[in-house]
Amino acid sequence: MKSESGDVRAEGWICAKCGVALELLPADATYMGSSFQVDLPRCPVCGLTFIPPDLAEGKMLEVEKLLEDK
Amino acid sequence: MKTRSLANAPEARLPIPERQSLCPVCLKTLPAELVRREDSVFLLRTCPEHGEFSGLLWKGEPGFDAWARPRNTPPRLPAATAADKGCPRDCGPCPEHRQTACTVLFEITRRCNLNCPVCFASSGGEQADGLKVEDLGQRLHRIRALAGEVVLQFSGGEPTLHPGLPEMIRLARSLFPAVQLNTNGVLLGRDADLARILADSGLSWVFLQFDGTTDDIHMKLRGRPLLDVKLEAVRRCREAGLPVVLVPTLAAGVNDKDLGNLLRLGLSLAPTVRGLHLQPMTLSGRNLPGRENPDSYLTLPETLQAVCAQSDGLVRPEHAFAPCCEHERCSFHFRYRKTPSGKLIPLRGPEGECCSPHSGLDACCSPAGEGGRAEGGSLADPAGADGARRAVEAVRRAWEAGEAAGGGDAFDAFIAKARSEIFSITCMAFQDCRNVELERLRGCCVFVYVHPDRLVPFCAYNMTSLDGTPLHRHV
Repeated sequence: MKSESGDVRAEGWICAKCGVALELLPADATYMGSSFQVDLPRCPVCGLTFIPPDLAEGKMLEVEKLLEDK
Repeated sequence: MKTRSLANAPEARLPIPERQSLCPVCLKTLPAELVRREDSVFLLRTCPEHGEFSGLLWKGEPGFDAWARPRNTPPRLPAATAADKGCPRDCGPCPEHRQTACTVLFEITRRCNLNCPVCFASSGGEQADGLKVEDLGQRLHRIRALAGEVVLQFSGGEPTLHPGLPEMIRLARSLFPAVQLNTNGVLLGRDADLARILADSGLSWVFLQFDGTTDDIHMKLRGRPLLDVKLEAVRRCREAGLPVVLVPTLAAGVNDKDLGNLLRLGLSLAPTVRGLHLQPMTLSGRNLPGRENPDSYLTLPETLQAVCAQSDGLVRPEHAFAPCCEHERCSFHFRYRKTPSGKLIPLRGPEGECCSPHSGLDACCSPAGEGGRAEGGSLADPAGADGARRAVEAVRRAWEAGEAAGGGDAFDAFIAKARSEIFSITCMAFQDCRNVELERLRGCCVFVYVHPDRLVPFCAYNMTSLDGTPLHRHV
């Protein structure tokens, strides 16, 4: 799911519901009142977005920690 | 201070056993009771020798009970002294202490280039301290061994007067996750190179004493017109990439009406200025004339309401959090994202959040999971040490400089931007002989290092009786 350069990749993932290969497509992320677009593996048919573990435990966790209190 | 009569007050005595305080005259440990009167809570105790005393502890909203925050038994620092003379005379800490450390102050000099009418450290004078950098370096290693991975604060006196400060910051940065400088900013403002030298040494952020936005305020609290030099210090820190937290000592009738101006000034100087840290004046060390006038001192909720009332609606009481590291009656904090248009967005909403006093939740202090703390945990206990680490990480996120976005994806860019947009408003209500609660001292996580091997809770270390006699500083 992650290339050697650290980029998120969609190759090798199939949408279980639609049976089609995921593609890197723009997804909206909203945090702290700000939205931004990031390319994530998504199903081109139903729009299901897959969050790779590396992203969930890496940058997304870092964003969550920014919001976290002591 | 000497007690008002409470005979006619509608009283409700709170059923908390073993509450203790001190006689403000002789600092003898005494049993104490909380007494409610209207929207206030007083700490009542009677000294066999000096009579009855009642100190104002809490006034207004949020209410005393609403602010309460149940917590688990935190890990403890290893005891350095025996419980012999009784709390708070054995501090080192003694086996009765109920907290670990998240912050340690290291006073590297007693010299000061100001001689403020107000100073809990009673600092001043130009006499040399005679402490060499090598000796101070050994003490830094000792602090690391005693306290673990804490935020290390260089303090004093005025620490920038010590010529070895850059070298000590470099060493401290190799031992601790963050290094803070507590300074009056005079040398930072006057010396064209100092901010850069300190930044290059690895200083994490500057706690800049900054009492108000007019020289009249500085004259009253510091005896000199200091506004220009303080603003110059901020400017030099900005050039050096050094984050600054503005730290006003708040005195009712002096600068408590200037909080809104301070907030607006701080926001205008963000992101160099990462926030305000409010410190209501205490009756410790040197103090203003009229020191026994109880109306001179602001309680935690009064300070909270004052900053909200003067913020033009930017800061709202429901955005406030009680702490989960120190005792709930010791501090509050707000954390915001400052938008480019100047709006403040609370990082956590009032509903269902981890540390919100309004949520009824206490997730980061829950007994289960990663925030859990074992009874009698120690620094050697990874699960127990986790709570202290979380507190250290939280202040680093709030006060450290955000790293510039260099490449990466939209997440990287967002993280860099969000870090630079965080603005915090925090308040630490230090205790003094008017209203000290030993329960809070025993739960303290902010320590002062005392050579060779003691860590003393900050408010115990700075405690003085009504006539200025210290509890610990002379020991």
